[in-house]
Amino acid sequence: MTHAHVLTGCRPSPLGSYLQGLGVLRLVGGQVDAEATGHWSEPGFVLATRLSRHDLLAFFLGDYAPTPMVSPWNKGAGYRGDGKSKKAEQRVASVLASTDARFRHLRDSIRVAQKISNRFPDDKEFTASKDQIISMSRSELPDPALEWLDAAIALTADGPVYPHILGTGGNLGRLDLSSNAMEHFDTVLGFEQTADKEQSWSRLEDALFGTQVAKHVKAPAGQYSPGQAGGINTSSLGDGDSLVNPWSFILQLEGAMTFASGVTRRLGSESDGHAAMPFTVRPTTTGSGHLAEQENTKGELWLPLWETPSTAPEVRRLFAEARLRWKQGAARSGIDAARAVSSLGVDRGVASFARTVIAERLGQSPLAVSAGRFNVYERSGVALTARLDGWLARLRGLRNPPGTVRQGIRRADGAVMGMAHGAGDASLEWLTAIAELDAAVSRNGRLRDEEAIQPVPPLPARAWLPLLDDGTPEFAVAAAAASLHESPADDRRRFVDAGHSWRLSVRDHVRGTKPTSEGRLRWDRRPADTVLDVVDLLAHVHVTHATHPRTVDDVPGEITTMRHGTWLRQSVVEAFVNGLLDERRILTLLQPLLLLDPRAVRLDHQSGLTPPSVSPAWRLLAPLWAAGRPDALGSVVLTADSSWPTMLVRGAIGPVAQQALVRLRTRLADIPHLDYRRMAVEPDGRRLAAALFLPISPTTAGRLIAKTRLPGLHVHQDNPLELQHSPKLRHSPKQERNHA
Amino acid sequence: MPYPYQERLAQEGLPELLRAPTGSGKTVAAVLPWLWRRRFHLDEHVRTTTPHWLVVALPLRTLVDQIETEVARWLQNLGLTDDVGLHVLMGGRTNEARGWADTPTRDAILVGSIDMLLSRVLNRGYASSRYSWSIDFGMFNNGAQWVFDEVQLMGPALPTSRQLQGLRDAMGTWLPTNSMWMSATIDPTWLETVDAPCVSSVIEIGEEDRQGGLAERTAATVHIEELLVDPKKAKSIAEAVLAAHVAGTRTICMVNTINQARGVHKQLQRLTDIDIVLVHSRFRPRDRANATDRALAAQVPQDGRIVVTTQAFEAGVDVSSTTLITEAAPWTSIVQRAGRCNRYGEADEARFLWYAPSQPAPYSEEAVAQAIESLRQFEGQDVTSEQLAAGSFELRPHHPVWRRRDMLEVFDTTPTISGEDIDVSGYIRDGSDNDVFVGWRVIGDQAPGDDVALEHEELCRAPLGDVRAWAKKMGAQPSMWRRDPEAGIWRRLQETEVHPGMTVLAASEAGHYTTTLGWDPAATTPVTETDVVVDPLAQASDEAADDDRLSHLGQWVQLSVHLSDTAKRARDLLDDHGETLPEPVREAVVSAAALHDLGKVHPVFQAALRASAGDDEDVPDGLTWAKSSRRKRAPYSRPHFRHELVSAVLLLSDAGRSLLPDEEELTVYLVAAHHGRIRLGMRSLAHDRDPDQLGRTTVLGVVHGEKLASIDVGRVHLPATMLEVEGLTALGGRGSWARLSLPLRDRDDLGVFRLGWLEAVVRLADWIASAQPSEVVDTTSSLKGPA
Repeated sequence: MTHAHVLTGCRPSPLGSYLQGLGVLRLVGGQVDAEATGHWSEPGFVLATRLSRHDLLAFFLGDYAPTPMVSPWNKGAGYRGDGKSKKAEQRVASVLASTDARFRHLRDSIRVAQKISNRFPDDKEFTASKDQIISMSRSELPDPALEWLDAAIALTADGPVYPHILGTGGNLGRLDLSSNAMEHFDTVLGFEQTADKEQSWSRLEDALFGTQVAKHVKAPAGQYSPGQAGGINTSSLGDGDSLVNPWSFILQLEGAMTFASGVTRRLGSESDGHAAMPFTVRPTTTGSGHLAEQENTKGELWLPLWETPSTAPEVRRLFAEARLRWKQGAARSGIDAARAVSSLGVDRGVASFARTVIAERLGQSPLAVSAGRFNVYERSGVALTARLDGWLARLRGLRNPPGTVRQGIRRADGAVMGMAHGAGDASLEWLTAIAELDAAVSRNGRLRDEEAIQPVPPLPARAWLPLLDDGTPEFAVAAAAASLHESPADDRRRFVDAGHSWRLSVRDHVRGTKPTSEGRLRWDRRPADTVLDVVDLLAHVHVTHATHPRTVDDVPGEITTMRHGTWLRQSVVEAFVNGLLDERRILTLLQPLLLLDPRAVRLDHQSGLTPPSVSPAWRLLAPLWAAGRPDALGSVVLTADSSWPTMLVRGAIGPVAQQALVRLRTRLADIPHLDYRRMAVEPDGRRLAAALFLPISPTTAGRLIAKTRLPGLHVHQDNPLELQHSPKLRHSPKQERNHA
Repeated sequence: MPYPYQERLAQEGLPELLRAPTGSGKTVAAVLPWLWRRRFHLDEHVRTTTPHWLVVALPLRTLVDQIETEVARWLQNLGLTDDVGLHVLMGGRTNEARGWADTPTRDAILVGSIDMLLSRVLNRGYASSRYSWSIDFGMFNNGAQWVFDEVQLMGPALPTSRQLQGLRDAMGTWLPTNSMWMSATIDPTWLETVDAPCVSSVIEIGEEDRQGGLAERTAATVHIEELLVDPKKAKSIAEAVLAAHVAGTRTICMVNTINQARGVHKQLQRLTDIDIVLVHSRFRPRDRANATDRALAAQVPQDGRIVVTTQAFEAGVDVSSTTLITEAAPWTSIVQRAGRCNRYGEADEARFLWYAPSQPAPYSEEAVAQAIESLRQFEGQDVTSEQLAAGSFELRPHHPVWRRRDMLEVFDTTPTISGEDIDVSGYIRDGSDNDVFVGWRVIGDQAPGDDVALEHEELCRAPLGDVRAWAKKMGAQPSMWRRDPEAGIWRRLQETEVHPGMTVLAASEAGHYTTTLGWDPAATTPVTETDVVVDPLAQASDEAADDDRLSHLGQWVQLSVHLSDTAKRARDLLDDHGETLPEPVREAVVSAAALHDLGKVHPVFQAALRASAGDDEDVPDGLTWAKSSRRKRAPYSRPHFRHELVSAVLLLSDAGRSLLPDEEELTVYLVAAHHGRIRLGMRSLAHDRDPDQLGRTTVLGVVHGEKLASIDVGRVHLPATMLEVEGLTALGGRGSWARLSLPLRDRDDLGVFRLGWLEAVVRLADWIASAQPSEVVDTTSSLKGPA
């Protein structure tokens, strides 16, 4: 019969509680019931075993043989017999003196540990030979003791690496964990059969089932249960003593040995020391709510929580391989781990991870702080962040980075964590942080020139847009602005000749980038300072673009706007002209959207606004801007003049409207005499200039022309500008219908 | 005429440790006594308990050649060429590495380099496909008498080989497997490791051996003198070498570093016309063999010959010199080097000249200082190699020790997270940690194509630092590449990406190597390419996960025929060697062989096989095929499809279980493992998607819930079966592959070595059956219509 014990004392967090769960399964599976399984549930670790509750407790009290925890490389571990660590030496002596079969492995291991330690009687030599002592220990300690060694130290080809799970080789500050464990063994098991069985029983119940019945003992707590002596931020966890349940202490260490680094980790090709340790990555301070920024974090543990009942060897295999795969390799940082979890880079059966940050507080033992739960779930945005890993790595590697860069990186990292949590706006947050970083680099001569940090390469718009599009007109405007670009393909010769000063996109204007002939972006010049107003920004870009020699033989007056871009609906643009949109939001959206490859920025679903607001001046002028684009109507060149944006920005709306009418009338006889002065009443020329820079469809342009023309005339539905120039159409309406 | 101690070996059996001086015929001692005990001993018990393989692991390539030639001659003389196989395992001859596979139970002598051989018992065979590691692992750990020569030079391979024997003894093998270590100088305590704590049997060269030929050798002396040179100046050393050289004889100059060797070589070339050869470890294998051959050539030109070399030459090379000049080195090296001077007692005035190096590197200062002290005690004396060997002791070097838990973990051969393999070389040889492998090819303007694969033969070991500096110097120039293991393409190498153990492809024009000087950062001339013989097996099954070349061996074979053939072959192999197997295990092996390819009934497999038929072929309908005539199969319609997974899943179904013998799990494991791809770990690959895009779990091309029609193949009858793969890839739990496979590994009565052998038997039976089908179907064209 199988009993399922819900160990409410072994919960996914804090770390100590988690490790107890691992310890119980490791011991029960390894020593008494090979078929026992364990898995995580919210109330606690579920142990399924043929042992009843009574048998389970009786096993630990009567039969459990402790895994030998010996650390000959630690001076204070008490094997050297030089009288310098009296307490530890006494503990060692009492183990050796006992005859209890449960401590046989421990005794054997201590004897070998003593042999190794005593090869270096001189204190200085001992200290200097630590690596060698570790290596000898790995070679000579009995097999059972290697679990402890491999968990405390990963012996890689480059030397020992200390997984945080057991401090520095089983040492937390001056606290030797192995020696303390012996003390606790004595308390609960009794080297001389002297343990208080009743108390030990109830302490074990407390540890396993989360009750608080038995008296704790005064002892150093270690790093595992920060909550033990009070709230997370109030606990004093130095070398001072706290109240500890000895069974918890023991089970935690037994569980920590599940983290023993395996061959695949130690001998794998990863060069980073962290890679040798299972589920351990470089720290990312972001998002670990409980930690102040200046606190020194040493690493992160990503504790797997599985919901499939699994045996001890199965769990051991899970940890030996410790699959957290990001970008064809093992995750190396907290950010990588978060993304691995969000891109199914983990073992099947692991449902979530409890992120735990190991922090070092001034002069005290390290502290393990829970930093959130990450569910294993595929999240599309996360994979997209991979593209900038290299770029960000350059920034991370900077010596003395400017504050803006530090902040930006922190913000970007926080956003990745947010994405992994499934936070809705995290994708935008990440791109925004990247845009800030890009801007910071663009304005910093040292980063741009000496460190040669390149602009962020254009990002894949098709993948990003669905994650960002909130369906608002503000988004539409920002996306349309970000989509504007010139294409060298339109007129290869001229663009090639134009040489160094290409500005093919709004980003080129705003960030001072220029595309190279291979299509990459390079820095061209120091950009203007941050613009706080989207109207100013667009109007300014419009003016510069219209007057900037884009090509050597640019005919003045022909092109005023960028020739490619995704179309906006009329009602959206007019709302923008009339200041009805949230312009702060547009600016907020525009900055990150500028990072996308403008050629792929498309608005597929765009809703219009009702009721529409009206801007007569824009309605008059917009078709002339639209006609400057290659996708505009037919062959008729009826365009704005490149001086007009400047005039508009200066407020000369009336004169521009007048010139526009003149220009229209030279082509279209039926343009009525409009009172352009009335249009000039519209207050803001800047706003108009900004709006005219935004692309509209040829159909919209045609409709606008048609409305401008005398009413009653038959307008060609597809091509209203063509009407006057197509005698065929005029004379044979039948054909026209057919054509339609 | 054998030496008396060799006769003792034949009578008493090979000991664990054989102590005999350099040049006393140790290698012969290994081979002939084994042969005699295995084949001619009167006591049948001795014959059957003597392992059927003799595996001779040697530290040097040239030595492998020498022993191979010698052994071949003996076998010929004894008329045993047909009865005893002789196979070589050595870098550069990788296509022969599995020459024994056709007759795996035949008595055989396998001679090889230590790295090729030890990597096999660590389940990471060099120059071998990941998917065939387990075959070598099973075979080399069961039924082999290992012989390790020149133990003092084995470095980390010594404790590793000791541990392996200790672990085999502790964990058990099906067939007797022993090891013998041989050395002139070894301190027996060096052999003590945690799982092989004592040396149980030692045979030493005795007084009676000192008669006859051996006496001549052991009595040979060298005259020891200290040279006064400026060790910092290669020119000073070169001049001393020239001054000491005697016309018409061979002079060997041994220095401690390759840089020094290169410098002395260069100065000598400047100073003299005498034939000078440079030999060190940083050569491509064949170039090194050529240099070594020249250095060893028995015929010495009139002016004599000067060989400049490093410790690469000290190990076991059968060469002698009249004059030997050396830098002081640790004592074992000094003894070895002295063994290359007047080796056969052939020279009247053999001189051993030494000087203190300017720096102890690569050795420890202590060890070199100790050796210098000892050498000074011998100054001006004529000494024998035995006197030298007794002259000094040194600290036991510390090497990493291969432990039981490591053994358990490497039994699995799933690639690491990065898609690469773990590197066991730290347990096989010294100093390899910081080497990078460089191969040169002539590369045009384009980046190298995906099909460019560097072979072992083309690779030269180069120091990490040198390669980094090189990559830095090359900067933007496209001349160095690394393999992106995931994408399978070559990417430009950045300086920061250079890491130990990696393979670098360099453009021939980028230099850094010459065939006579080896690795040389100063070399600027284009490097000539090496002609490569590719190991077709390693090549074919290595990379892409859906290859399955064994299904395409030149003839159309029906599945029922192949299954019964394989079962028969498995039975034969077990009859030869499996007498110690418990009956249920034996049954599991035979059943696994009889069922292994059952999954080939899957329509995806059958369609791919049929699609590979040539235009000139007429493949009859209505038959279920195991093999087609083409070497290249048409691609599966589902990526990563594995028929052996279908076999396993079928057998795990309710109806399928009725086909299994008592050892159900073991049988299913052996079936799944028969291509070396599904072993302990099973996981779905990133590209495993439901072909119908219904979001069903798909593992290695098998879709959860898909239904397979009823099966009627030979004696196997199964009703239509639903394939269930849902839980297989989970980390654990009921129905997971881990739940089935891990306990097999951990079972006391199986364990890794025994399990490995069972896997090997099934796979070898499959190979042999595939190569020699008992019945084929003629598909040559086709007016006749289907048979």
